[in-house]
Amino acid sequence: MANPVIDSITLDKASYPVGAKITATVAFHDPDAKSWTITGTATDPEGNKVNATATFAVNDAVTVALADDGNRVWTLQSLPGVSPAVFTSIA
Amino acid sequence: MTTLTATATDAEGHISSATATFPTPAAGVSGTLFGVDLNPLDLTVYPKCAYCRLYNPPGTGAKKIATPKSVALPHVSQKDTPTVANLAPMLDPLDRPILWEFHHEPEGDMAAADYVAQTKAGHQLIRSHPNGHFVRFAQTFTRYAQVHHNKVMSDGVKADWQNLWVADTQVFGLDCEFDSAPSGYPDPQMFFSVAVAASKTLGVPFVIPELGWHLLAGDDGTGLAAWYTACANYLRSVGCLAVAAYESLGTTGDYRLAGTPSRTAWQSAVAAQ
Repeated sequence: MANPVIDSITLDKASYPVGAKITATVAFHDPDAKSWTITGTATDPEGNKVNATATFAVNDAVTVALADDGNRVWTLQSLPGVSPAVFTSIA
Repeated sequence: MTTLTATATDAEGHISSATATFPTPAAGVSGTLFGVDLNPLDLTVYPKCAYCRLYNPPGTGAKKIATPKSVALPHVSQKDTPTVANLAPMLDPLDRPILWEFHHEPEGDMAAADYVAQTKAGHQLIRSHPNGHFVRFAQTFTRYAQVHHNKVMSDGVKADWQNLWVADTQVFGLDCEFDSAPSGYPDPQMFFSVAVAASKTLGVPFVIPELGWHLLAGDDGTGLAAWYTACANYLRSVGCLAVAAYESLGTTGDYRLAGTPSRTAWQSAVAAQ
């Protein structure tokens, strides 16, 4: 199994005044994730067929955390395990 | 620069990390105002003022903040037990981030259980208000009490901040002023060590809402001014969120820096942000 991959960390501004809200977005993915498409086929006695497909994915649950060397608290604002992870803190 | 580190961990314990940086916001402020709002004069003396400490005395609840939006980060405290009614003047028109706390410098003033309960109650009331998302919770203690451990709350609990901290508070505050027997200007690393250590322990940023020291005998003012500069530089280097200078003249009710060398030094520190 491979390590998860962090694709990018993006900040909503280049700089912040004291007390301003900071939003950081972390894009990530699981290289082990795989998806399959399954096809269901229904056939009637006359040989008529109808197909339907569905896709499902299998991937590890990935947890993303954010920290900085200024001891800020970073709060996850988006759904856990879903990329991108959106965090907020105060400058 | 501040370095952000993102860590991704999968279910098997595989870990990856990546970093990004952004300019560290500089801490700096005006001389502290002993009143309920920023005086326009402070903006004349300190045009780049980034933080202002607003005190609501007993009986006044939390007043509407008149400090213009985007001028400075207000840090509001109130001595009254928080209620929907006495928070409303501040919360209803609120349109920018602020810091708020119940009863700054609580050491020895009441029962620890009451202080904690009222702080929690204030947090709940604010969180349930539509503008509550603007508010970051702070708790401010006094360096003197935290270093000398000489205060006890009225219910017998020692007034150490660890006994008074509320879990969802987001900013640690420490008022740092002259000791009882000052023999010199203290080394900033030592002087702020309680705040820096608490910040790291708690994982929250810290502020120094009041910073001050007496002019020592034999100093023409340049020594005290150099100390203020050293404090500002040190606090910036350790990621302090904000600091307000506070000249402890004691009885005048006006705690702005008055000595020319000190005020000039602090103006330079504020102008540098």
